[in-house]
Amino acid sequence: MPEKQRRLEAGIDPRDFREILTGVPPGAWVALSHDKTRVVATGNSMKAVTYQADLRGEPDPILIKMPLADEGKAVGAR
Amino acid sequence: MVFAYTTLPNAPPRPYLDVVLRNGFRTAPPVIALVDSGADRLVFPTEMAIEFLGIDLAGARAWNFYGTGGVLQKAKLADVRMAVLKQEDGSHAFEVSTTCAFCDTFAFPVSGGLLGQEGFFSKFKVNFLQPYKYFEIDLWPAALVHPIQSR
Repeated sequence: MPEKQRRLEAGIDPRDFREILTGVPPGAWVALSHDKTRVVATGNSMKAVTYQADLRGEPDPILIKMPLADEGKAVGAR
Repeated sequence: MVFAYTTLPNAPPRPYLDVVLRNGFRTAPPVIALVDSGADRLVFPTEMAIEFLGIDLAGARAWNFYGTGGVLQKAKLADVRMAVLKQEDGSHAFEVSTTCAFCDTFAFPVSGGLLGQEGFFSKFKVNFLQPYKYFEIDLWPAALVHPIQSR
């Protein structure tokens, strides 16, 4: 298939964060290491996890918010 | 440019992008945000505007919207720069000027931010290849972004 071939040529693999985010509470903010291979901090605000990440030697984390448990999504903000 | 769908716990694979918002010389941490064609605008937590971008929202234009729970949410609009990062190495893929809604009551149940119609889809041509779990984005030509002015 052309699309699949294009995808393979682009070297894009699906991103799967399920393993590294195991045990993180739903709804929590998470600071990932800059290479997105490990959780550096979790908390209830962006500022809190950024601060914790910096203390743990990760000044450039990437933030993500854990989806709520067993929640599908039908509509977005409008 | 091609981006892979991302799978998070408790959720199916979805089209997320790593983005950075800027206000002048102030930069917020990169956030993984959902590409959401059902959202009318870019929506991010107010905390990002205040704590990281130094934006004073007191006099900002108000914008109300209904979130996933059907509850009215009140947001404030501000102009920012937004960079889209490459998934593989975090380098910049695109950077645009846009308007973002900042809201402190919306729970952001599926991501740290929403990339919606005005401000994201108005800037980027998006092609979802859902069966293959990836999507492509590219900047619209300037003539299409401002079709009325260009006539």
